[in-house]
Amino acid sequence: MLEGGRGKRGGILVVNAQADLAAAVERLLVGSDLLPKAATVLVEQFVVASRELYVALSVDRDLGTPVLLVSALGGINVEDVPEEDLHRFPLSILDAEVPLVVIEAIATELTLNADGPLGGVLQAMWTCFCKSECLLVEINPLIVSNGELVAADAKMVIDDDARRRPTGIDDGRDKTSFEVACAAAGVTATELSGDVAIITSGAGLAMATLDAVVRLGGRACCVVDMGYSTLQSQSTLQEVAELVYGLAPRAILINAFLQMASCRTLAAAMEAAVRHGSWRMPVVARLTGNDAEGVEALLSSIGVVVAEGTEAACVDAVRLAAAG
Amino acid sequence: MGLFTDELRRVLIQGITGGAGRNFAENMRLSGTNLVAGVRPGRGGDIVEGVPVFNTVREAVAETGATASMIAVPPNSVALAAQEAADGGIKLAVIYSEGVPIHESLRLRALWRSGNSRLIGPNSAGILSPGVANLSDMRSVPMRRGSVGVVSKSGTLTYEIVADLDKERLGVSTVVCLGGDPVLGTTAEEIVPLFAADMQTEVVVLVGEPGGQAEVRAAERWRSLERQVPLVALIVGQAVPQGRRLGHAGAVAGSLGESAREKMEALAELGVQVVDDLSSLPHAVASLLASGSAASKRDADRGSYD
Repeated sequence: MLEGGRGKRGGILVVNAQADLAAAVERLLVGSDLLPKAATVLVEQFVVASRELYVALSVDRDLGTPVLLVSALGGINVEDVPEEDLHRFPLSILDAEVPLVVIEAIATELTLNADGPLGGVLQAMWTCFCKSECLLVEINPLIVSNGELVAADAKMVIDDDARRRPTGIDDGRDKTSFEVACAAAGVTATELSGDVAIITSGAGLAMATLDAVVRLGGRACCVVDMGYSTLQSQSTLQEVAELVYGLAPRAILINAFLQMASCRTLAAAMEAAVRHGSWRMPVVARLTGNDAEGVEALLSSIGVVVAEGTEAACVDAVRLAAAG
Repeated sequence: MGLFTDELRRVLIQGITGGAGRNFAENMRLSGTNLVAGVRPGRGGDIVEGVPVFNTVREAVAETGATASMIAVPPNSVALAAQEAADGGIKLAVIYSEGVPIHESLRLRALWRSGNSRLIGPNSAGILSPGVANLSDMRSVPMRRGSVGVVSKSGTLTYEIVADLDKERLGVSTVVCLGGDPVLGTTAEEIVPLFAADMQTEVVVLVGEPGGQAEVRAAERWRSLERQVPLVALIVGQAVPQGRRLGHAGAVAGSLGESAREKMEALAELGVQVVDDLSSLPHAVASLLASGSAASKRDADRGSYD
């Protein structure tokens, strides 16, 4: 199960006799309402814990540095740990090792011996974080057992854009088949539940358009953010048009403010989608910016509702979806 | 005078021979930006858009005195290009490229902050100061010089805002697009004080989105400043479900306080004027300017498209 909260959701079982093992494994393979069924089950020795600690390396996006997060209150309820019990130690990405002063401070915080195994654990985590270009390396719980430290469970998140990202790793984040197909076509898409398909020329505009549609009482079935290279490619635009059609929206809303890309290229792709039957539902378009001359007339001639401005386009799309 | 005016006087483009690089070069020529050079290893001696291409930033700076760089190279080359810009004496660099690994952004941020140069981006649409320079991909946006400072993560949304302000006859001092990535060379917290210190800027528009706390930190910083320029904020992504990412790599609310709604509340508590949606922004800016000073009248009177 590639997500957090395993212990809380009954995904970690303790058995005291070999005879009970098969039943326990069976339960995990079947799953429950709370717990997705497991594909594989890891069996490990039970460790008697005198204390459960939390240690993680993450990226502090506001500081723009890596940060070590530690808490003496680790375990399955770590999400509920109050902010003052979660201690943050910013690190420099340029450091080859975790500095000794940081290890000492953490040892004090966790009431551990700074000369003990803690330093080795932190250095190993740092190496892993840097080498695998991670966004998160988390050990929870880090168990104190007879003076030893045992990493009882761990979680890693590797950057999607990491240069050496290993292939074939399932990142465990659920993506819909629509999102996967869009990603393969080179566009960023989010599937939601609703009946207006939103296609925009950028992420910020996508969010503002979704906000307006929802504020006006509409619901979006997807938001597709097309980048410059997508906007220049007729074949990609055609592919995206068909993928969007597959979601059976009641209205399609295209909101594009183009700088480098051309409104005419986008309009031509829209014309093809309408003419080839990829889009049989009402289409609302707001195309402005670079190379926009004559676009309005072309789109109007094929039955596309042309709107001026984001707000007006959203009003039209919500109205048409409700009527459709 | 707007932000980064000195740095923006002499501009070069790294990756000038590529598709995006050529577009920037043409854009700069059309907008009257003083493009002095291009850089592309192995293509030294070429001419693009009338400016010489150099093999290295160092050579380009030595020959032309360039102080700002637009970095438009493939994501895998960004780290080297940005390092070269820093080593070559560039004072202000914008990374346009999208898809830069976060660990490289962390390294670049650490590197650039140790010097006295400024890095914007990655995944930034750039900087525009009408009448000074256009170091951005903006081309079809009305470039009216005025007194509104805009700081945003997004490109597309910013075009929309600048165009909407123009319809109200409001111009901009400087537009800074910080980039859509989670780790950035420069954050809004660092830009807001620069706007407050800039005498051309009479009101600042802060555009935010889910994820991180950058907008709240910027507002906290703003409150502590001596010159209190009015701050108007728009946070988009209010309808994005928690934990979902929409478009920008950085736009995902993971922790408490990172959603658009939570940020809007936090900003309002700090005394920032928060608008609910894009369409209310121009009017909010116009009324602040009208109540604050004669700056809006000044923009309208000037009315020029520099």
